Amino acid sequence: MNYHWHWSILVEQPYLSWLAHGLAVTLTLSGLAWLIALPLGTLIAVLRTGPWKIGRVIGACYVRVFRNVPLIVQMFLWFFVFPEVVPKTFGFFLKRQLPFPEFTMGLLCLSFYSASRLAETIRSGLETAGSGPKNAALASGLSYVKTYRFVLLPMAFRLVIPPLTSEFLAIFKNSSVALAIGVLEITAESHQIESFTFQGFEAFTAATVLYALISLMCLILAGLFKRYLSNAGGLGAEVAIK
Amino acid sequence: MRIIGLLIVVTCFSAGQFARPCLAEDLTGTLKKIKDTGTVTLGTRESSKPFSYLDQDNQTVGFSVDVCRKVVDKIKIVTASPGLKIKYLTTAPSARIPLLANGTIDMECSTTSMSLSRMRQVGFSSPFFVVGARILTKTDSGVKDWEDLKGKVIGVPQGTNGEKTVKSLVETPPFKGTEVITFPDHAAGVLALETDRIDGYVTDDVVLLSLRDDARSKNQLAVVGRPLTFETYAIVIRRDDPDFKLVVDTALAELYRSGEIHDIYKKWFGPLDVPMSEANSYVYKIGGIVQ
Amino acid sequence: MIMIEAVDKWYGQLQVLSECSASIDQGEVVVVCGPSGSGKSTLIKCINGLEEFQKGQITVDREPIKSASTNIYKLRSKVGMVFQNFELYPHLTSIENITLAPMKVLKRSREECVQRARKLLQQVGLSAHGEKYPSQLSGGQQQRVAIARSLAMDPIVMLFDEPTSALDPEMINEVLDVMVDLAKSGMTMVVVTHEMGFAQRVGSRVIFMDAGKIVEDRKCPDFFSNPNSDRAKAFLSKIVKH
Repeated sequence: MNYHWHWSILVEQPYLSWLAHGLAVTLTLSGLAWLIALPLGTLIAVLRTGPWKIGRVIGACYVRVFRNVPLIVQMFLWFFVFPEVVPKTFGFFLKRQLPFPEFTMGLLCLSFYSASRLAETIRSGLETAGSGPKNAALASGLSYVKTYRFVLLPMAFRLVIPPLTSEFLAIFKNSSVALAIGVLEITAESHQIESFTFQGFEAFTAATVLYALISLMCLILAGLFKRYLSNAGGLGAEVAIK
Repeated sequence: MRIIGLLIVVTCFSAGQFARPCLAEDLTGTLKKIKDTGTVTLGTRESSKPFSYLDQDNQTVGFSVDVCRKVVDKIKIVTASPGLKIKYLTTAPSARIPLLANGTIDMECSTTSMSLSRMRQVGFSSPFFVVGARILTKTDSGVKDWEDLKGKVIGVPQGTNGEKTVKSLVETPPFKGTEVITFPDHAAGVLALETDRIDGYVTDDVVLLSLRDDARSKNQLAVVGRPLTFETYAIVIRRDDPDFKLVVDTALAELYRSGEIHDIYKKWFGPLDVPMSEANSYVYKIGGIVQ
Repeated sequence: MIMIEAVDKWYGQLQVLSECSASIDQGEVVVVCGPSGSGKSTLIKCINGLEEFQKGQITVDREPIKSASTNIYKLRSKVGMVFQNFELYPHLTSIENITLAPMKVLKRSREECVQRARKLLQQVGLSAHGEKYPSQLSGGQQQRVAIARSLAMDPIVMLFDEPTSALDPEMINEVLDVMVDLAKSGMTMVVVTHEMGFAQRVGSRVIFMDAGKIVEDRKCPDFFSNPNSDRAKAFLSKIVKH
């Protein structure tokens, strides 16, 4: 192997600040996407399992469209096609006046995609929670909204913490697809470093380490959250359905 | 050992076209590997028109490829292997260095430009083409030169020297408020230009001319502006292999000196209606190093 | 208090209730029994609208269930229901299980509800278990919490859907004792059960169902001493043997 290692480029300028910028973009993009996707995914999951037929149809369509179209295709559709199909002035706004157009469109796309995946995870939690507690809550006079708010969703979230954690991790990984529309996140920045210095192994190692650190942080956060919840009520197997 | 080997190689060259085959056991590095395997592997691109790309019949062709073929002819003589086979490997930009480092490809023949930071990792032949960063824009945009892009939106391909150039340009006071959007590939950049997302797309002028030639809205696009920076394309080889570099550079020098390079130029740029730039003709004059 | 008039119910092609009629007066304890699959549980779930029915009408406290003008949630809040599998909310403590509906449906204050919950827990013999989660309680204890949860809504009638069938034998009596006390206090009760001992001690009437039909509707002692139908006789002989 005729490869010349220069680990020092990772701390040289401008490459160090490229990596730092990439990390900041990845964290912001994924964090904001999570904040949008979680409530939206919850809403879709509730619609899909709820008593209103139109809601179930809307929920099912949403999940089918956003989950089955590859993320990279969705990125292109949002960035290039969407502004062309909306009214001209709005399209112009999206293309020219929107601040950080590629970041904003990438964020929307990632949020809607992640919401469809979260919706399926939360739906499985709602289904595992079962019809028993739902009937008990309805029988005591709680409306559907309150039944979901106070009984079914708290149960479902406790049941799906492990898959929810991996969905949270997946958002960070999926955020790298946004490089396809020019968002300079970790992966794009390390490509950039590779392209300028030809020290690809060092650059991609740095990206790998950053992703691993992010994952580790998420797992620690999820663990803390899980401990907090198990102090506040039965969890996992204990909730397990008789 | 290496110095002795080098001397032998140089001695062989000094005999010019009539060089007798050198002794195989004196070869080192890439030359020895090529001799032993009977194959030269060229790293090429899928769609870097007109330098290195796959044509309709899936054949690897282009200006850079023709130049490399001339280099291979030289290698055949030096290694005394007239039956040397050429293998083409379509290589993504991010894969070229690992493939070169692990010996999968011996030369990269595309549009890679020389830079000092890249030279810490790889070796470059002497330059075979000069490009300048210019602007692709819509003919009705009113953009004639760089000054017209003040306060507008400029697109650049990600990870190119063009990007570096434009980003440092917009940091100068007169260009305050000018936005730069990076695109992962030229197709996305041209699409952005066609849909009015950007006012100009900046990269190497020949690349722009070829993009314009392929675009659907060919007649509504123009390449404008004076070349802002110069960059030179060169063949990428492994670093620290002076024997091989000497063979490659010798082949290029002979190609320039003999004038054959002008035939190759006409073959690929004639159809695009791009006359040879002054800078390029000087590269071939200076590069035609005397024997 | 409850009027069931000619109720028919189908699951697709399968008729599960046919021509069911009965009336239940205030203070009555009506035991519903019959072989499994005879439609007992379905019938009492129709009373609070957890199951829909296609024909007939059920009136609770002079309000018809199948009517656009009826607020089904308000009606349910007046009808307590205890389930075979307890259906406590696993993420809430006993006290929280009991106070949820009074706080969210009746909008009572937390202090008032907690105070009431403690009294009810005392009534069912679980004063010490208010802060425990369902997973920390035995089946019998869970079912007593479930009864307290229903009572917290001050229901005018209590529905029991096989309240002891999911319990280990040694726990059946602790639940039955609570139910007997409740019956003696004058609560109107509809109880689906196979516990004929309970029926004989406090039952006013027995409704015997078979194949979706009400076969007998008799005063309690009469039913046991002198069942009319062959099917009831066969059923009783099997039950008594065990």
